[in-house]
Amino acid sequence: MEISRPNETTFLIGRIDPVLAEVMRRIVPSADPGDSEKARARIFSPPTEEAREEQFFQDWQELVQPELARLFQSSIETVEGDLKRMRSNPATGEATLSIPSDHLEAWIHGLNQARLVLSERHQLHEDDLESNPPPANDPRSFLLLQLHLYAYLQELFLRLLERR
Amino acid sequence: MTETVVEQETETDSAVDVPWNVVVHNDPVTLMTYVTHVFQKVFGYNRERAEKHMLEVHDLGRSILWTGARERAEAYVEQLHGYQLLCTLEKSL
Repeated sequence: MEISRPNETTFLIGRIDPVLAEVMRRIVPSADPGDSEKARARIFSPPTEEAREEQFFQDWQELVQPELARLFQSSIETVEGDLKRMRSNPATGEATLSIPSDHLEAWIHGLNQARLVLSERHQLHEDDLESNPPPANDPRSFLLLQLHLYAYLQELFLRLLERR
Repeated sequence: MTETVVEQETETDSAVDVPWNVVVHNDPVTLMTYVTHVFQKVFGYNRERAEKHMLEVHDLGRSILWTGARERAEAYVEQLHGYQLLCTLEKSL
């Protein structure tokens, strides 16, 4: 993987290994909580633990949660749009992805959501996330690879954001 | 302990003016660098201060990021939820 900045407004990620490109294409479906109540509960966590705040919690569900859902969806759509423009070299299979610098925040959020949703859907624990690389005989190897790659990309984009 | 911003209240002492804490809770999935980034963005903290709060969350399970008027505390909680951090509003004792 090679990172370059061809101009002030774009980051180019080139020579992306075909397997990693496939893992990246799965960011969007991975970020979808679907019918997983646990995943939904994690990305729409309660705003208070105080039992007396029932009305606040109801108002939050009615007024704030739809706004949050729109915000999250907006980030995911930005990531999806950039990924649709990812191109593979027919000779090598390596992919190239162009990311406008003003999309970095959306990528960071989208990757975060994908990691949260995957962890909840598959009930991963802290120890699972720290085993890098995952044990070869672990049936969750691909899932753990996803989580590690998304973490790597999140860290990378946070650093790029600082340099922007 | 990490220093927490406490807003001075000068208005009436009605229930809504009781100070409220904005609390962020630990989450083993969310990256520490991301949490630091969010604290810098939302509260305008410098990196050192944001990292202190992040480490407090990581080591102690929670950190009070801000204390003050209810309305502003709610706004901070909403912002932090926008970054998918585990964050709650609680009455300051």
